[in-house]
Amino acid sequence: MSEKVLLVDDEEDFRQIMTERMTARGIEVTTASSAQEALAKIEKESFDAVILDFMMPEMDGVQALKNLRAKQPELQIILLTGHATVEKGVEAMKLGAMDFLEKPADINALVEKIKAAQGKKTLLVEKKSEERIKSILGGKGW
Amino acid sequence: MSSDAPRGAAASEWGLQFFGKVSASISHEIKNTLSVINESAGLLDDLVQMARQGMALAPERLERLAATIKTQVERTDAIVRNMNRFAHSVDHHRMGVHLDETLRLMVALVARTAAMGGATVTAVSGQSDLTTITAPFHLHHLLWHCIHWAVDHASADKEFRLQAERNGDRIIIRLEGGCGFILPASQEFPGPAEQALITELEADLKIHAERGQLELILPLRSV
Repeated sequence: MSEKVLLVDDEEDFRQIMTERMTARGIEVTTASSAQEALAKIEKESFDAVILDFMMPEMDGVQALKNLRAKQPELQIILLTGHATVEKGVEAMKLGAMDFLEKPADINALVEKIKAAQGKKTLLVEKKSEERIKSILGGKGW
Repeated sequence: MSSDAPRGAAASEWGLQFFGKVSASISHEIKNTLSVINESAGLLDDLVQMARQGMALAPERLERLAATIKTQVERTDAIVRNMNRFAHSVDHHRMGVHLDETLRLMVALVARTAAMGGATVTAVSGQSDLTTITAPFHLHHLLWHCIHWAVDHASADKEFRLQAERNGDRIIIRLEGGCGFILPASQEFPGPAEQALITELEADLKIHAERGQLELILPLRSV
């Protein structure tokens, strides 16, 4: 099953070209030009991964990350950052990012992380379903 | 002390922090343009691989890619030119500055950080020959503080205009926009850093909160 990705970046040229490159690699891409737009889109559709530019107008990356995770805790977010230091990486993970890449990013590395995100999300969704079933069975006394 | 030598707190840690912030912002802008150029090169590579596998190459697609790369190179060049002008603002403590050029540079330097606060800042051309002798780095630094304060305290409508005009033996740099400023209970602007710059520039700073206007008044000194 092809991976489904939400690409969030305020640069239109970047969104267009990345979309074309990822589509050619079998990935289904939806785009958003802002964190606000991304928040609206994740309410309507499910994504295996969100690729999020860490510095965009109107909402800083930290807040965007927190807001996205608050809406969907199982959302796998890959940060695209201008400067990937170890400290920033640790900070990003603490905030709930699945991974991060420094711009300009290597598309092969990004695709690997998207595949990993899909795997991780599938596991989380399965675990959630399992817990739900257990809770229902427990409640019925079966 | 030489009249060219910087004095006091204005030349201190605050100045270095300002220089660092602007440099970081510029580097981020360049990373963004490099990303587009990088992906464009990658897409060209992808298209070559597809062509080797027999897929037809559409010339219009290549044309668009070339145009994108060209646009991003031009954009990077403009960013680097602004970075260079900013870097040279510390060549001399005091020198002749062209006000319109200074304001255009400021608008370019604050564009991204202002956008992070949901604001746009536009330089409005004033008198084309308006120049004065002042400390350009400290002027940039003070304008940076004024613009970011205005962005943080605008009540609504964060579209600002920046313009300089001559008024007798003074120059008024006016930042205005929106529906007024919300002043906090304890007004801390101008703070110590800004006040040091105001002193260094022999300037005056007026805030007209209801009008959403900041005026920086400088002495006019012939170049």
